[in-house]
Amino acid sequence: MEVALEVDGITKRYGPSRGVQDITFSVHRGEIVGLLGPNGAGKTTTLRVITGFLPASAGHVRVEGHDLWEEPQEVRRRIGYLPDNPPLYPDMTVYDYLLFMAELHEVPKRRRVSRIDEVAARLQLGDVLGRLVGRLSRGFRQRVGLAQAVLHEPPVLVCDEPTVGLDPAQIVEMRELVRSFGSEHAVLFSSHVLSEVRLLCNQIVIIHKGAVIDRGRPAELSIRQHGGASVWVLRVRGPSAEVAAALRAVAGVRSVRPEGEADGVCTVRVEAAPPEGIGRDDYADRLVDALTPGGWRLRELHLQETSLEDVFLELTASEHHESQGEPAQKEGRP
Amino acid sequence: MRTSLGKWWVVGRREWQVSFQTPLAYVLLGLWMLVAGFFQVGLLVSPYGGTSDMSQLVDQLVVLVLFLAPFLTMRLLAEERRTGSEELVLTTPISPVQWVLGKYAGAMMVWTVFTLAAGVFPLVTSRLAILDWGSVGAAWLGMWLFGAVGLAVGLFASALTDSQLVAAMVSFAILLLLYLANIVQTSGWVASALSYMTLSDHLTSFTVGTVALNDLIYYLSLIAGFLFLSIRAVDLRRWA
Repeated sequence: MEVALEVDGITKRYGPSRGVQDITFSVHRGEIVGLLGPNGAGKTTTLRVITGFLPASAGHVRVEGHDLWEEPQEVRRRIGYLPDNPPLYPDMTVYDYLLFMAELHEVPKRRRVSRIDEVAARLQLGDVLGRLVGRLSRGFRQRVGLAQAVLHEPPVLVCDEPTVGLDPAQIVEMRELVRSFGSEHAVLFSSHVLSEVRLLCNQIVIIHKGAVIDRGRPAELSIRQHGGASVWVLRVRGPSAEVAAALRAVAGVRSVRPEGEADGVCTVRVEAAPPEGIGRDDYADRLVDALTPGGWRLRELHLQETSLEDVFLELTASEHHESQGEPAQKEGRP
Repeated sequence: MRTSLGKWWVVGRREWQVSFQTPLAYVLLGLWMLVAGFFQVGLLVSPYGGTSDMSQLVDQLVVLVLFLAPFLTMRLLAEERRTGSEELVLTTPISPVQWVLGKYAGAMMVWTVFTLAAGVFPLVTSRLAILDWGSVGAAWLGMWLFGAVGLAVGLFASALTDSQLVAAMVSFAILLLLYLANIVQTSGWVASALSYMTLSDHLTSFTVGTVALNDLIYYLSLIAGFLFLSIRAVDLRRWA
C-alpha cells in the first residue's frame, strides 16, 4: 500500500510540560488510523501540526512525498481537515460557505457547483443548503464541516473527534461516513472512545501525555500486552486452593488466581505463555490434564481475550503510577 | 500557482457580503451620515459666515473616522481567532498575506461606500454654491486615504487579540496618537519628526486641492506598514 501521510518525529513545545514529543506514525491510502488518547493527551495538537496550523518545533510531516516545511501549500492542498467542534461561519448559508471553502481549496471553477452537489448528496445536506450555518443542529454542522473537508477530494482526511457531542444516531451516521471515506482517502481521526476506534480503524496509535505509548492493529495491541501471555478462566468442581496448586505446576503458567468458590465449584484465572510449538488450543488440553489426577471435573473453560480497554487502561495507568506514585487502580473499574 | 492570486479576493468578497448581513454596518452608516450632515449644516449656517468650503467638512469628518475605523475593523481578525474559524481557513492553501489583504480589501470596500455616501454633501452644496470639483475630489481622496490608514491600524489591532473590544480600544489609541502627535510642543528635530508623523498634517495638501506626493507617500507607507505588521501578527500567533 502507498503511504499517503507520514508523520516523522513531530514535537511541539508550548511550555515546560505541555505539547507533544516525537510522534511518529504513517497512514496508507485506503487505511483508517485512529489517534486514541484521553482528553488532554495531545491529540488536537498533533492534528494541528499535521494540518499545518501549528508549526512543529521539530520533526517532519509528509503528504504523498511533499514535506510540510518545504512545500506547505502542496501539503495543504492534499489534506482535508475537520477540526473539533468545526468552527464554521454562522452568518453564511451552507451553500455560500461551501462555495467559499471550495474556492479556498482551489476546486476548479467549472467543478465547484457539481462538487458541492455531489458532497451535499453524499452527506445528506441537500435540504439545508439554503439555511444559515448558525441555525443548524450540531449534527448538521458536523456534516457541513466534513463536507468542506472533502470538497477538494484530498488524499488525506484528518478529523478531530468527529463524533463528540452527537446523539447516538448521529454518532452511528458519522462513523459510517468516516468508514466510507476510508476507502478513497487515507483517514486519520482522533477519539477518546475505544469502541469507536476498534470499530473503524485498521491501525491505532495510542497517545498519552503527548507521546505515543503504543501502536498497531487492534488485535496486535491486545495480544502484545501480556508479553505473549494469554488468560484462561476455568470453573472446576473441587477445592479452590488444591486446584490452583495443580494448575501452577503446568509448564508455562505464570500465575494462577482463585476467583471465588460457590457450591463446591471454584473459578480460577490462569495467566500463561504456552511453551514454543504449542498452540493455545493444545495448551488448554494440558490445563485440563492437570485436573485429572485430583478427580476434579471441569465445568467451563474459556480463553479470555485482553480487551483494548485493558490495554489502554494498563498503559495509561502505569504512567499514572509512575508519575503520581499511586497504585494503579485496575480492579476498581466496572 | 493555479488560483492563488485571486484568493485575497475570495476572502474580501466574503467579508463584504457578511458586513452588510449584520446590522452593524447599517447602524454605522446611518450614524456617519447623521453626524456628517450635522457638521455640514453647521458649516453652512454658521453665524461667523457660512461656508461652502468642502475642505472644512473633510477636516471634521476625519475626526469621525478616528471613531469609525475601530468599529469597522475590530471584528476582522479578532473574531476569527475567538471562534477558531481561522483554523479552517489557514489550513487551506492560502497564505497569511492573502488572508490579511483579503480582510483589508473587504473592509476597504465598506469604507468606500461610506466615502461615496458622504459625497451627497458636496452634491447638495453645489446647488447653493459653485464648487471646484477638482478640489472636492482631492479632499475626498485625502479622506479616503485617511480612512484607509485607519482601517490598516484597526486591522493590526484586531490581529493582536481575540477580543473585539480590546481591538477597538487599541486601534483608537493608536489612531488618536497618530492624529495628535504634534500636540507635543517641542523644538528641533523632535518637533519636526512628530509633526511629520501627524496624520492630520498630511491631510492639508489634499484639502487645499493639491495632492502632494510626499503626503501620498506618507499615507501609503503607513498603510503598507500596518498591513505588514498585521501579517506578521497573524503569522506569529501560530508560533505562540
